[in-house]
Amino acid sequence: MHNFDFVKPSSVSDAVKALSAEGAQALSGGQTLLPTMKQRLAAPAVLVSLTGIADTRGVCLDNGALSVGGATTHAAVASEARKYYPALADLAGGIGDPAVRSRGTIGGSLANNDPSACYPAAVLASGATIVTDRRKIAADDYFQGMFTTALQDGEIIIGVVFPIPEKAAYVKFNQPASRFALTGVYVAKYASGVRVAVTGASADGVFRWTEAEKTLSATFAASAIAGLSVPSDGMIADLHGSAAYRANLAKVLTGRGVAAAH
Amino acid sequence: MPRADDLPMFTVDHSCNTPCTHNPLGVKGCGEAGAIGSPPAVVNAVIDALQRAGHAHVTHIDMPLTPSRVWSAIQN
Repeated sequence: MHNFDFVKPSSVSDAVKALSAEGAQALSGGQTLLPTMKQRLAAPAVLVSLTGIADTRGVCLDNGALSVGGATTHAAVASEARKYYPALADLAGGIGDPAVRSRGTIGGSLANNDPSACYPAAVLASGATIVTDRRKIAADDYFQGMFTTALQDGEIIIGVVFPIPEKAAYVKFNQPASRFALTGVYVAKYASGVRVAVTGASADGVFRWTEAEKTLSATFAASAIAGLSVPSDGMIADLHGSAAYRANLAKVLTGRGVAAAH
Repeated sequence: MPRADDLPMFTVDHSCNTPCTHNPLGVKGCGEAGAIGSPPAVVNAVIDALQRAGHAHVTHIDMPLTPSRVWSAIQN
């Protein structure tokens, strides 16, 4: 790891100021950034920790929606969000292992937008809103491809607002060594319709399976999607699974998600 | 792939009641004993299970038997 300076501001405005410095890089839970720095694949001059800002931690109800602070750890979401949005708590409790869940944060996961991360599926399927230091971004506009988001340079995720569905479930097929999603599907049923988001499968990162959404909005049953299939074009193919395998998993897990929705 | 937290607790026994008579240290090689017979047994068991389930065309799958490889064998 190369040498760097470290600052831990206690307000959003101080963090924004610190991030405007040359070579500054935001640090949240560090579960991706720190290994990358250890491998010398990244060498920021200044790390700006975002975990010292009190009002970006924790969960609360906000006009019937669940608001999660950007620096809230996965472990905290798993325990504190359970009574409001159990499917989201299930997802958070299944990320990585206890060490990852105790350090990693929702804001960090969303800013990184790993194509196999769990949180993007929940955010996209819930039609959540990402609140930053300067604006609000709808989930449908936020995810823009593998490791790519709508965030501008130095923009900080303050929190995420999740509309609470009638029913939802996240079903993940683990990549056993990393416990990332080999493929994961989040199904959320709202009065306005069903949303289905798939992570881990596409080379473009998380995406909505709109064909299934239409069918499930009419009939919310696993059998309703029997005749549909996810195209394997653009799916990730690697040591752990072919493109066709991932496309098939997306369909199988969608059915399981519908059956498990609660 | 098993990780450290998948292992049960176990006690390591350092006693040596039957030393090997073919070398001066009395030591025996045993590290790979479990690795020689078990993988083909597992592969054969999976192929047997697939054939019993109606996939008679599956006669061979290369290790490691990842879910993806087993699924592909069923599809072909």
